[in-house]
Amino acid sequence: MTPEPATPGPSSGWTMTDLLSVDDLRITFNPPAGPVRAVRGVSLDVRHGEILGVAGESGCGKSVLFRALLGMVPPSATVTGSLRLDGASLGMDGSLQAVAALIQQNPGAALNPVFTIGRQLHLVARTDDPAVLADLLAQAGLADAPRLLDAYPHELSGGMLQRSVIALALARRPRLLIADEPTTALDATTQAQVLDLLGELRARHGLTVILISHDLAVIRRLCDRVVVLYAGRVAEAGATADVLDAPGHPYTQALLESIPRPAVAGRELASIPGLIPDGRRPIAGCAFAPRCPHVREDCRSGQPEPRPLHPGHTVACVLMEPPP
Amino acid sequence: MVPGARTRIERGGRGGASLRRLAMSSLVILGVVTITFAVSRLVPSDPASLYAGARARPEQVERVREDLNLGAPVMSQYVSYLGELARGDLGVSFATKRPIAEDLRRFLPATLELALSATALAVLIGIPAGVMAADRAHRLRAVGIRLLAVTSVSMPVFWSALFLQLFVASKLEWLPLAGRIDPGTHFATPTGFFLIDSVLSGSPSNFLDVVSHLILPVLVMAAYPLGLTIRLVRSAMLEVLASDHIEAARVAQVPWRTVLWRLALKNALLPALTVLGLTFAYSVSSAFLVEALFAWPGLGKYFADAILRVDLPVISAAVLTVTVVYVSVNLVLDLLQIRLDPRVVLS
Amino acid sequence: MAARGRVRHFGCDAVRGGKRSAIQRWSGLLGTHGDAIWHYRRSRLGMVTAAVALTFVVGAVFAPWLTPFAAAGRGVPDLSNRLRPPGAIHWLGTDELGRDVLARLLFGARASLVVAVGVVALSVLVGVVVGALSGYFGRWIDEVLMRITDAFLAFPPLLLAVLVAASLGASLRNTVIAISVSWWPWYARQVRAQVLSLRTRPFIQAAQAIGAPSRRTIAVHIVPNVMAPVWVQATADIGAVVLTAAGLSFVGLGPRPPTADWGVMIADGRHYVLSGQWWIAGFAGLAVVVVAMAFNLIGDVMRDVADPRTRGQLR
Repeated sequence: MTPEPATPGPSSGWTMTDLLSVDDLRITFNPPAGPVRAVRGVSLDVRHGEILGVAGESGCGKSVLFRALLGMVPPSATVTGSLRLDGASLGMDGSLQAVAALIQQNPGAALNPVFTIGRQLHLVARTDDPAVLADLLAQAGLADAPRLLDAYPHELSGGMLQRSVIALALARRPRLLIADEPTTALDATTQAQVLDLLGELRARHGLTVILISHDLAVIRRLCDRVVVLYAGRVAEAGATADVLDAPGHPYTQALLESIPRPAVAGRELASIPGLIPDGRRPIAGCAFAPRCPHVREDCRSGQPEPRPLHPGHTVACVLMEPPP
Repeated sequence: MVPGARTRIERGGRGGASLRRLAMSSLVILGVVTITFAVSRLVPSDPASLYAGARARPEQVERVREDLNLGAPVMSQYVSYLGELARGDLGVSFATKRPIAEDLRRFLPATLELALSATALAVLIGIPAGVMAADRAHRLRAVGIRLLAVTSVSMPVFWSALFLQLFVASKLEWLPLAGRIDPGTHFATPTGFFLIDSVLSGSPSNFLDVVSHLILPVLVMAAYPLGLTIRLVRSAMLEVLASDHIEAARVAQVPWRTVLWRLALKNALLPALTVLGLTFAYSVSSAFLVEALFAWPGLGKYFADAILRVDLPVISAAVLTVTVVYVSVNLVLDLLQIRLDPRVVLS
Repeated sequence: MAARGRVRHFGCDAVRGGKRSAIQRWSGLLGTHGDAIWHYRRSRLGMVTAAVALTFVVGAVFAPWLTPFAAAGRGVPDLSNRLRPPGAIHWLGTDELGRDVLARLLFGARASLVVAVGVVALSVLVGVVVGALSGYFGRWIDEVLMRITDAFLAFPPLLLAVLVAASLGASLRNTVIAISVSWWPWYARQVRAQVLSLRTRPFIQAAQAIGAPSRRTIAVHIVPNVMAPVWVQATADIGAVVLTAAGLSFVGLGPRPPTADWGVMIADGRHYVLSGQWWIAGFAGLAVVVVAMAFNLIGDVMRDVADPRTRGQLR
């Protein structure tokens, strides 16, 4: 058991309901030009059977974070921090691969173009029983599964491809699905279907799902809880409704402002001024400070720690603290 | 190299794609014939004296001028050149006065035997070595193979031949110095391919004799294409290994061996089929160096002798023949690729 | 929105990430800021091979001042000193005409350098013109130029050069022309591909839209932007050209004696190898191998540096 951290953050040590617990994860890439800090101390828990949304701009470290947990960052990268599965410590050397499956962003690239779907399922599921393989496809919502076993990826539509990818992910009977932008490359109708499928799989198999997405609408539709990342740190975390309806962090507020809403015609669509910070330079104070409309003097000094806004909803922002 | 991740859309499906390749190759051959004609008939300041050779008497040069129709307009020369080629007439050697087509036919099997053996060796070693060179799990082995590859593409064949002859043949006497068979060995040669003929002769000693003569020239000839194959396969593999589906397979705990040698290699192999053509081309084009050094009685030695005598009709006919063979080999490989690639969309 | 500029945050994944994985996206991000020369200098192998290449160039340029046997280097025989093995005076021995092998190698480097630079310069010139016209104008111009290029590429390497050299007659200048004839199509192909991807870029389309003359657009906007990879290829090719030139002179299509040339040295020296005088052909061949290898490796390191996926593999 980990000792209770000083600040009650999104990670408060392992509890009975946690499948996965990440503490103080830091990832640094080491190209010759000098280190790049991609993830700068992230702690988070994933509960049994939940769908956890992970939101943030591109470059905020959300994809890299989960690839590091799966042991899929280049060996030259430095990864520190701890990972617990059901309370037991786990190395970040790929051990998590035994219980987790990854669904990638682009289904067109996620399948090997020169092998049939059946052949790829066979290699992953380690059985060539066509009944078993066809059943996997059926679970992913693909009718006519036996015929699809002999199909090559290029013969399938985008939605069918993503369902095949999900079938491949199910082949190893994982407990955890890590879906990295699973719907970004799909059209709107297919998007909804794939999201429903993920929800269904959770309900039917008791799967835990991590949904990485930049699209807050997708997260609102499916996720129980959400973690908002900014520049490699957790900005805000909590139940989806809490975070998205009453955001505490100025960054989350700005994100929500920038979603186009058809109801308010004529309103200028807000965008967040400035760019995400450069990972090669050290960041003093709050990483969001240069872009923040509520910036104060003390934002530039210390990194804000996550503080509870109310139970289960934490915000890492000095606004949560009394002014100096 | 085209990576194995893209869908190739061919209008008209496989049949249409094949027809287009066929048409393209015919066009290329016409271009090759034109270039050969231009270089050998139009570039020299006095083609007739060049064709007749350095020691020709003036009246011989005049006869050549008439034979080659050099007084006629260029277009009519070109047309008659095409006509001769179409009849399979490659002209006459000025050194031996023999019809070149006949000589080529006689010498071709010996060269093909050498070049095909070298191609086979380069590809059979080069492809697995290229895969290993892309395998980051065995860094040291990968670096060693890359070093081997860069050495073999940097070594002049005539130099490596010399020193293999010096050490392996002359000093150690492990293998014969030169030639295709021992002077004392005789057997019927119906195919002209001594490997096959010696097996047909039924005597193992004949076969061993042929093989022992083949080893050194094949090693020398295979070196450059081997290095080339390793480098091309490696870069195709690296491209494939960086793709999403390989990441997916690794996360799904497909064993690394399977990922490398089956999942990735099959993707890398389709573009690598072109390597086969290139390998053959490099083997054939170094033949004139290798055969001259190993006294190998083939097209290459015939060609090298012609170069020494500046026997231009032989040089241009041999270049043309080998190029046409090369274009045909590439066409066959291209058609094969179209047949094998599941991504060629049938429409 | 217009007043605030582009929406920079959400949706960028889809636009920029596209088909690439997250890891590639990250390393790609770094690559665009990296300084290629800086990376190159970090590579130990890169520096060693660059030193070898530099030695080759310096040796060629300053040959007469680097050896006490400059006369032998120019071809003056000294029959009293025939076939001396390597020793204190003649470090690499002497050849069949008593000439210092090291001096011949240094003067031979001049021939190699002239051929290499000549071939690369000539081929790049022709290749860039053909490739730029083909890629920029497209349609029938592209079709015609590319079919011609294909025909030249259809010849197996070396053979076209042999044919041209045999037609023109053996000399250093003709070696340059002969190899260039078979070399330019590769650059034309490369430049054309670059131009095709460049043509759709906004600044080119803007230049076309304001009616800038094609010649100016090609000269000012296209060519400077495609040259970087061409120079990488050209540098790497120097080794291959040296190798090819040695092959041509080995079969008697190189410079005439008494000009020193590595291929000729191997050809002449080979008659003495089996009788034990290995040093003439031996060192000449070694020179070719070392120079060809150095430039091949320089090309490898440069490609590695340019490609974030393999960056840092060669050290």
